[in-house]
Amino acid sequence: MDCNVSYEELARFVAGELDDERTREVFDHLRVCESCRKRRIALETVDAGLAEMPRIPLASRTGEEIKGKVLAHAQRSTPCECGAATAVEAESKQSVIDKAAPFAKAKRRGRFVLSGEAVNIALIVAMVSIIVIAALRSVGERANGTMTSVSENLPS
Amino acid sequence: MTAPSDDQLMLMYRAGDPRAFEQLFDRYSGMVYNYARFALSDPDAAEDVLQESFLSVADAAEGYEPRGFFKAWLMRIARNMCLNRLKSATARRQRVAALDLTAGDPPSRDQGPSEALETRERMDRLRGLIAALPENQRDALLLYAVEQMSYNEIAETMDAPVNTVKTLIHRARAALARSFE
Ligand SMILES: [Zn+2]
Repeated sequence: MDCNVSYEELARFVAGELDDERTREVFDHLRVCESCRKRRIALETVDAGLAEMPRIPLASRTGEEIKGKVLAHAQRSTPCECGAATAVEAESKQSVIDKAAPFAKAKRRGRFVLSGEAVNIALIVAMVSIIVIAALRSVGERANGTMTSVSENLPS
Repeated sequence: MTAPSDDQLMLMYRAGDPRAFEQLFDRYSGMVYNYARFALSDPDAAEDVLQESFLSVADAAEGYEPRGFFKAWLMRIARNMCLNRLKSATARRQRVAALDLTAGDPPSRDQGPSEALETRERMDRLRGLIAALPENQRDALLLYAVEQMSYNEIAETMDAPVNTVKTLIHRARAALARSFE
């Protein structure tokens, strides 16, 4: 039997995710391929099992215990109260998140880096302009001074 | 009145309402625990991951971006915790040794004893097979089939392209089906 349908492709077929043309081809193929017909039934059995598979439940006592701890923590650290937290507390919190969630870490770091850069750029611009202005002034003053002294020293 | 969205609850929590956080816990603790049970095959470790995941959510609430991906974000936190645990050799050994995933099964309803047994046996077998899948396939399949997350949400959770996620899921289904032929 000439079979050109992979198991994975058949899985896509059963899930209805092949394009129309390939769907028709696989459909036709199923009529003549005994092993693909068996695979299709196996895939449908798996899908049916997955569809009715219950979650593994957490014992309710343990669930309540965990919920209690989590909520106590959440209440303590409601973000609007964060301002009251000490620097040490804030830092240890951040390390938990860093360890647990690179996703959040990356986002946060990214934002911090960005705002840090923005602050740096603003500072540099401010400093440069102060220096430039000061330099221009002193040059101007010196020029004026020179001119005055020159004019003062000019024989009348 | 419709229930508030995950993002709305996060924003409410951020504004100082701890009950919003409780609602998020009630909404997703079952999902996180179930995932961790599969990922770690260890009830105690799964409980730890459940607790730590939500502690992290509380800690990270301030930086949370409401883009409609709370579930994916939460599962990503839980998944990273599970992966970290699995890195230790001890956990690896435990995972192979303890495929007893059914200790907490609820009694089945509306079924005769033999039918219930049959379903239960099939479920046990399926769970064992899922637990034995390669990590990425198992995670993608669990999020898709048991948690009914969309391909986009799973991609967001696993930090992988949508096409990769689809391939993982269909490969996992094919791998499981091989045992049911
Ligand atoms: Zn075939």
